[in-house]
Amino acid sequence: MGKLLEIKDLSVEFRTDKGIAHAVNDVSLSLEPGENLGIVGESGSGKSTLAHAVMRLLSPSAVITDGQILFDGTDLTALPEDELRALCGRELSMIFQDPMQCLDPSFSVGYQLTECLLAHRICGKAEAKERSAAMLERVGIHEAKEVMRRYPFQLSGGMRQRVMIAMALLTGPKLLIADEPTTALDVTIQDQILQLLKDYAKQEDLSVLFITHSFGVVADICDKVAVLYGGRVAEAGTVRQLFYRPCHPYTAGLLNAVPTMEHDKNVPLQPIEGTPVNVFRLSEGCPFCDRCGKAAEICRKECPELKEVEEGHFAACHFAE
Amino acid sequence: MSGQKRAINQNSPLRRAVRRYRKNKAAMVCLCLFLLILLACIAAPLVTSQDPEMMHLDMVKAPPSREHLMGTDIVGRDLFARMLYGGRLTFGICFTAIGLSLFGLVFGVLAGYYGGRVDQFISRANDALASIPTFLLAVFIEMCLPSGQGNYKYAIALALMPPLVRLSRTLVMEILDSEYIEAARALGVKSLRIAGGHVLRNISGPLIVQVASNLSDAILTCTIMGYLGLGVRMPRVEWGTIVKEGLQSILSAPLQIVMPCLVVFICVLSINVIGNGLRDALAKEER
Amino acid sequence: MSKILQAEDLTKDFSVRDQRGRRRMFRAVDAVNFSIERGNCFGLVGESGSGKTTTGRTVLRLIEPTAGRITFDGVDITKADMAAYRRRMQIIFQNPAGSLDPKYQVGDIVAEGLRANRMCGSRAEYRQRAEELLRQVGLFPEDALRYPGEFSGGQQQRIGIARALAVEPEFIVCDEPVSALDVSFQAQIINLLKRLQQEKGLSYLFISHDMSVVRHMSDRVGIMYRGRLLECGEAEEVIGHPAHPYTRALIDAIPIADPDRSAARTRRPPVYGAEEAVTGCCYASRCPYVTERCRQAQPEAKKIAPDHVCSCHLFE
Repeated sequence: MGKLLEIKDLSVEFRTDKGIAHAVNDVSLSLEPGENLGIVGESGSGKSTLAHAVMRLLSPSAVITDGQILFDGTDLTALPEDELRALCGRELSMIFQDPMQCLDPSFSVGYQLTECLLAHRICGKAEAKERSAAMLERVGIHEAKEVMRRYPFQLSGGMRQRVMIAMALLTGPKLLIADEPTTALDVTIQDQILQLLKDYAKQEDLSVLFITHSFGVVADICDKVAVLYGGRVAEAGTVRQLFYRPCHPYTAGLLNAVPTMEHDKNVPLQPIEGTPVNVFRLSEGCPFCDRCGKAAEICRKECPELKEVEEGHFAACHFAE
Repeated sequence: MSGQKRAINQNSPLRRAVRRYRKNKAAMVCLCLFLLILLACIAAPLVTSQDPEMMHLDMVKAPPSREHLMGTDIVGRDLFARMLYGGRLTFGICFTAIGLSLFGLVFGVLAGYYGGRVDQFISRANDALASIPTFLLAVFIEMCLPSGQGNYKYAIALALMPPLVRLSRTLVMEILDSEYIEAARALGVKSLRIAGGHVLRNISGPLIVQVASNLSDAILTCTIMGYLGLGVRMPRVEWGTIVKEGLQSILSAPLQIVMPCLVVFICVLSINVIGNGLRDALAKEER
Repeated sequence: MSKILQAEDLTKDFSVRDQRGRRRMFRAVDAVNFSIERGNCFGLVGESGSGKTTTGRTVLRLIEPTAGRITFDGVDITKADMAAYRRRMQIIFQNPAGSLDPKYQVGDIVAEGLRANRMCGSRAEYRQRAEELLRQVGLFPEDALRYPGEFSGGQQQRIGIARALAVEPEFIVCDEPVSALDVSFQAQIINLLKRLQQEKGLSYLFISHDMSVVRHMSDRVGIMYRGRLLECGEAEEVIGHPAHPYTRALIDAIPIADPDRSAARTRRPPVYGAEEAVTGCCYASRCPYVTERCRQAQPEAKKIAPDHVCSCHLFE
């Protein structure tokens, strides 16, 4: 099976007046059709930059210094702007943490939904309305006709998120990039939205690139997962490989640090001590070495390459096995 | 904390702002330019030996020369000297107006701090003030007070007040709404201390920017007033009256009007660039 | 054991403007009852808009209650002059950056409460105390001279904690202290709060939307929804044997960081309803077990186990 999305040795840096931030460094990832890939990391890990780089929505201060992003074999980094825009929204779409970011407050929901079908010349006006309503129903909005008349600010947070998802899925994309879509939502709503995305992806053979900081969300919705730290892939593999046999100390640490419903209250949590690495000042060593319990001489001197510890399971640690 | 240690710290918000401002080349150039003009005007007698009122009737409408840097006007007065001495008055009027307009801050802070009826009253009064045209106010004041003395500075001061009141009001409201104020209240910090500490420190940045923009407004208005004949009476000069006199010889000696306009233009432009630089330097730091 | 804080029928109305600009009252907290034992932690769980944050602010009287009674250490403080109590009750905020004044040095932030209450004699003493507090929360004394913007979120939260601890309080409202933090910081802050509670015998009102964090911190918990306390009691009892349909839905919705167990769990289809139910139970529009009675009458709080009350018609 051909790869739907392949990111090869991607590096992105931000040139600011404080210096150069190496937000993404030599990241390689791939996604098969119908597969859900989770990208986990803390703030500053480069996960959001990665997502924005794929859609070429980076801020002007960001520069892609190296690498390729292949979508269905086409290099998105080399594509002319108009062709890219035609592709985005049709073949690949994106949803954000804050729906207000992509919903225009001065147009009704219905107008915005039909507009994106009309803009890509997918169908006529009447059919566009029909399809929009059907899509709203599908994402769990029952009074679709009523909601289409409303404006974004008249909807609750969960509803807005559904509308944004409906908008992203309307054109039948092959790849959906979801940038923390449930972080701002309540748990019960988050659960519904995740369920919705999961079911839809399965039915329509849609691939989802899911950016999140929550392992719980990854375990729920993803098939494969990549953990980012300091703009590098620390570990990547299938969900089961990562959760049940984490090979990078950072992954293991994160999994241990989250309080679960089963954790014994009298036992303190095991946090990862210290502060995340500053992407303005990356050393030549492993980005995690300052916080790592296993750090040795080599870790400070040499940045570990990703190595395959078992089939399809990669870790960037000198001691991974 | 000891004063000495405080001084060593290179990272106070003020120092960071200064550092950012100094990196901004355009703003630095404009700051130097403006200071040069300002200082030259203040130290006029030291800069030029010419008398601004001395009429060299033998050298009427002379082109710029070593003796008369900007040439002479229709009655042979040295334009450079007139610009310097005129600038003294113009800057004097503008800075007084700016100083007086700062009373607006008191009202703005009160409105923002107390809210409710105090706010309603101050805001409505402020809206009313903002709706009176500056020139009408100036004419009225010239009528009431001895005219030709530059009393229109009160009109400028009143005209500059509304934006300051509005800005300080919203700033205070924003700050009072923030969690660090809530934290201070939870700690039992007295209201007066909250106002003097947190509020004052956090409103100063945007206000400085507003005052800078007010200054450029003041200089423009001041020049226009002088030009319209509301300015100070002879023999004292200000930039507006010089522009007006230059108009009489616009065809025979165009430099007599171009030069004063150019100086005002450079002044206003550099203040605006300085204002923009300040805004960028004082803006909240994104992280 | 004595009760450090008790809220009885605590109610808070806000005047809001609706979409047409008309004024109306919005009840953010509706007759809430709970009590916190000295040295214990009471967890308040709810989704956004449930009134949990308002409850936290109201018990400190940072927001004045509309009705009800607040008792602190046996004294009714509903109408009392708070100046005498500020030192004994503190708050830690959700947003670490927003709760620290960017123009103040960290040392001054930490010492603000000390100064306000004149707790030290000299400048040197204030400085020493601030540095000591920073050390207690895992920062360095040198950090006193830096500004909040130079710290990461987790460190900023530590500064906020040091500021609250400075006045030696007995009771702290923790308003979502970890929800704005990165995963690796969350555990650090939770451990710090727990350690401080043990060392200083503090009592907490711990507000969070994250059930697993609340469970880890709290001895007793309360579940809030739309201003009402739906269920309240001993933490293990309420979370282990949730009675109210809302509590059950909340617990079911927590993502499980384990692929196999996550895949194995069953999901109930969500109930969508008009949001306008007013007269009856506030959860009626989303409840799968809704009956006619739920829409008519508000359920009373009912004791269903020794320390476990629940407001639901199913238990009458």
